[in-house]
Amino acid sequence: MVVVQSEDEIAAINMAVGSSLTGARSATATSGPGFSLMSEGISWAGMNEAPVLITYYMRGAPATGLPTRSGQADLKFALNVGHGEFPRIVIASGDHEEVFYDSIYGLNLAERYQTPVIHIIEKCLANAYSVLDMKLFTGSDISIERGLLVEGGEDYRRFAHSDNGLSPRAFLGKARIFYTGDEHNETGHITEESLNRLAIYEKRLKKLETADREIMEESMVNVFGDSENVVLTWGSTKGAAIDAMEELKEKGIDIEVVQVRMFSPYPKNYMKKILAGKSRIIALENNYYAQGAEVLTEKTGIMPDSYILKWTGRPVLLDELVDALERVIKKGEKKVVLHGGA
Amino acid sequence: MEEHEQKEFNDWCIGCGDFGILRSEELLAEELKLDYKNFVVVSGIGCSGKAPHFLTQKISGVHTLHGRAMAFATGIKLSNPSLEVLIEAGDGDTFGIGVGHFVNAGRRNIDMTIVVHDNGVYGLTKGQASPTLKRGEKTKSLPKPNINDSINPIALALASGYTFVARGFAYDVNGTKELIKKAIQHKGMALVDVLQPCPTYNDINTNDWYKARVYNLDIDPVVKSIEEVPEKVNAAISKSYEWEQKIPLGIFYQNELVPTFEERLNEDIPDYMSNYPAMQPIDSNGKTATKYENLIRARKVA
Ligand SMILES: Cc1ncc(C[n+]2csc(CCOP(=O)(O)OP(=O)(O)O)c2C)c(N)n1
Ligand code: SF4
Ligand SMILES: [Mg+2]
Repeated sequence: MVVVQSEDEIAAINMAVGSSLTGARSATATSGPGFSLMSEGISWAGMNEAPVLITYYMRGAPATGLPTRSGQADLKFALNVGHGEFPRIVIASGDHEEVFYDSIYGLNLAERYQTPVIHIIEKCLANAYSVLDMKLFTGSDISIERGLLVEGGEDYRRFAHSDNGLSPRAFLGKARIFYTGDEHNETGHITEESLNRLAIYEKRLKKLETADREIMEESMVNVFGDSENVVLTWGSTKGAAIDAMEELKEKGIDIEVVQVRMFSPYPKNYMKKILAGKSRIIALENNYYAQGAEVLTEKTGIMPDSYILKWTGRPVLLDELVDALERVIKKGEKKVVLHGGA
Repeated sequence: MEEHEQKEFNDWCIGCGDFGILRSEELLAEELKLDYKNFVVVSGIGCSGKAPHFLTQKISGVHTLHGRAMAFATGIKLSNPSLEVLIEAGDGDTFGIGVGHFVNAGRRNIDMTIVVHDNGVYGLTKGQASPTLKRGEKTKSLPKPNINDSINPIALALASGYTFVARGFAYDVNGTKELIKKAIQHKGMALVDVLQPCPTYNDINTNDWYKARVYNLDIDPVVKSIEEVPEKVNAAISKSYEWEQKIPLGIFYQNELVPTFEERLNEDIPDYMSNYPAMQPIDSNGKTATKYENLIRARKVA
């Protein structure tokens, strides 16, 4: 493994993408300001079907915002980063064990679907400690998927058409390959010809449909408990929500926690199934708009009934969450804004 | 398959200096037996950026983003140091939007070569002033004379730590070929700034204008001991400021005493060159080849 300290995040993403063209697994990590700088490079990777993993450590934004504190306000930015339409895969971890396994899973997805994968963690996970059983990290059972690979040679076509949009991948040094950020033909040469544009554009986007079809929706969501009161969340709030579930039980209140783990592709059918017939959906997020819930609405038409939100950069604390959930469930409050923590 | 054989449609203007640079590269690729197995051309965005698509040799090409060819090339080279990596970029690419990457490449001294198509204008976007256009000059597209001072590519490369710095002239195909060839053979980061007439937008620095001024450098550019560095750098910088009357071509500076980035990595990772990242197996039978347990155990605190 080689690690390079780049001069800036523009260099970081483009070095990582360059590296991936040689067959090395490539990744880079950044927070909001750096992710903003990476957006053009991510668009190039999408256009050139280059696998790369970007770990996105979200802080309190906009700008440098609360630079030493946490946040979840960039979910929609991660989902839409880079100009143009291309497949972006977005996963979000809720605790350290998930962060570990998602980083490997993210690289598998990047190589299998030949596109950028954004792995969201938050400052409050990235800069925190937790005690975990070493047995959780056995390693030997971790699957590696590199997707379709070929040697290539002189007559190789990097962007050859196929039914599922995926073309067998060869590497620089092994095959005669052309890459370009301009629209290109199957060989990777520049062309603006209309019928080629139609076909190759669709080929790229088909890969996200393929991913949507192949990845089990059940693996994109964690469900804890079973209740008519659903706390809908993602990321680091997982911990407080699960702890609140136990505390509330002692007070005679049941909740179910639904943690979304993948936002693109989105588990729309499974979410519809889980949320069907629930009497209350409470969106819990570290941002102002409840962006994760907005994605749910966009994909399924389902709207939350109430909101527990926090954008002070501090993580959601157990006591304030228990209190807020009681207010929502017992008193029917529609929106509680949290500000706990020093 | 036929697509490879079909000659790419070359949309450069008639008389463009880029043709001279392309021809130099075709000749040297022939001489050095470069093909896709050992060679990658990485380009930026501009008229110059299309060069890899137009090369007739069986090479690989990566046409990247405006200003970012250096960063992509760095990722390619460090993951597969067995490849010869040639960067092809415009003067806007290199000294405008991408100047941060250009400067920082000097700090690393990776064994690569950047060929700058130095035409004084943003050719592809219709002739705005590039960072190498002199103050006071009014090329065809400018409504008023340029009020920015120009960057001196040679001096900037020297100050940044480039270990091979040369200047060519696009219509001197053989001379440019020799310079790029030497740059490729040089061990370390090399710049060849090629003066490239753009007959469409630069009506000042034309072929005739250059031909009346260019001459071959008469200095010994090679550093033979570290003590010589300040003297050789100073001589090169001093020569690089000649312009209005006489414009020197050739190698300004060459120093192979500085360790390359690859050599620096090799000190830390002893098998880096023989087992570079692009070669390393990632899986064995579908499972991870890395023993995560061992990595985690190594971090165990009492
Ligand atoms: C980020 C970004 N900004 C602007 C452009 C538009 N653009 C394309 S080429 C170019 C300038 C090209 O000039 P130069 O690098 O000197 O190359 P030349 O065409 O002269 O060879 C610009 C500004 C772009 N492609 N990307
Ligand atoms: S605009 Fe200038 S640099 Fe571009 S192809 Fe035409 S002559 Fe060459
Ligand atoms: Mg130019």
